[in-house]
Amino acid sequence: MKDPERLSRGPATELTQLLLEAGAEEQPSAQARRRLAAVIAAAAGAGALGTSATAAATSHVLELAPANVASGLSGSVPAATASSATPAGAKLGWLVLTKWLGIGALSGAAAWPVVHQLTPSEHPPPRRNLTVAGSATPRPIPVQTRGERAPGIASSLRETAMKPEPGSELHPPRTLPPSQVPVATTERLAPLERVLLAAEVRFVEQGRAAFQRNAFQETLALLAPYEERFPKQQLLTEVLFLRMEAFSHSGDANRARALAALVLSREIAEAQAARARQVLGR
Amino acid sequence: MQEPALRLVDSEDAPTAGAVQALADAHFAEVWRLLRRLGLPEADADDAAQQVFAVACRRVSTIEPGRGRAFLYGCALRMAAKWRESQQQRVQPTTTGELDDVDDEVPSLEELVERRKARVLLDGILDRMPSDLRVVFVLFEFEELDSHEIAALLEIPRGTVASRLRRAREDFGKRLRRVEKQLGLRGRAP
Repeated sequence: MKDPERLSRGPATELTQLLLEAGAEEQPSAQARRRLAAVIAAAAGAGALGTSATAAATSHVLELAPANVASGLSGSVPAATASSATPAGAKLGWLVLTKWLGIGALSGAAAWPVVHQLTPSEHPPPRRNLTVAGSATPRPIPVQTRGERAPGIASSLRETAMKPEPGSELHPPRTLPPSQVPVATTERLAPLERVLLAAEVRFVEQGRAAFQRNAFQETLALLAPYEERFPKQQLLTEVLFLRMEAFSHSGDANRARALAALVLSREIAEAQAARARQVLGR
Repeated sequence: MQEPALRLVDSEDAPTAGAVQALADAHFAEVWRLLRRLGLPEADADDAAQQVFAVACRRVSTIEPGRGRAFLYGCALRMAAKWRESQQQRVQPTTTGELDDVDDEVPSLEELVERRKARVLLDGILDRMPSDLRVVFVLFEFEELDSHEIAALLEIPRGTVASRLRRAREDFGKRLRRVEKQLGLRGRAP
């Protein structure tokens, strides 16, 4: 008997993802942490516990990772905090979202951490945003089935993401021409559209981030369910372009050319058009 | 033959505040979040989480290495059950298959962008789920325990875990679809 795929990692509606993320990222207040420390100290002072030992020594006995112990109460759950976003951060994110879409979507590497108030060096990748491990050929994300137990899927995805594909160490991280596809600013969008667009942006950003790590198969796998999950397809051109680049860099010239022709049939910026023509060999 | 539990000591017979502090550093947020998803309001979750670690202080010498999280989760589940029993006016989960009307509690989509509002909606949906289903659902979907771990923690067969999870997902999905319909969202049920 195998465990089903978790809702946060399988095909799910935007509302489902929103609720699951909100529930998973909630944190106790600083006051609660301080009170806990006082409880522990009081228990020690009352003689229930002996003198304190160093956390490192204790962690060895407890078989805890030193990083967990050293992180302290202020940041004890890196996985949970990695995807947190305060309400203030969400509002700031709208301004950045507008800039990202209007100026340099695909080359805006700084937009992702700004929107989510993270820096990649401080936090591990969000554990809930990756849906399926890369495979040799892109395929749709399967409907939730009783597949293999996946307690380690998050870690295996991170390992896949962190490990460059064979030969990729010879190439520097990829950059893409800026996108200048005109998109409605957030101010003109109704609340529903803003929420859906934000989810779509996050989705595409995952693929872009994988591409910049030279993880081309992972890029394709991450983007595979795009049409199914986002019927409005507001960022279809970006997705097609990313797929074109991923196929091109992974050696699948036929698929890359097919996508290049499709990209050129759409309204795109000159830089993207130039790259698509290059893929087509024009 | 029962294997004796290893003692968390840095000297021969002296359990340490450092051991409990290390557990708190690693798992306090998880324990607190588990209590929240099991229905406790923030203030009650604060208190219950502290009680969990107070128990850990008393029993630190019997916690096996590598089993700290399971110990804490077991305490938290018992705390949450006691809290539910103490509530006089708790919302009763449906058992007839009819869904409670959540329409009056649904915030707007714009409000849902704020995480707090989203959690209010989430907790409202979870509050209407039978508690035995809710526990399995929360442990699997939010705390990401696998069915083996949940079965061991709850001391129930793994098949029972699978059954409860399936029913919990059906319940969650039905309520979500109603909310989505009200909000005018297109999408597939989980």
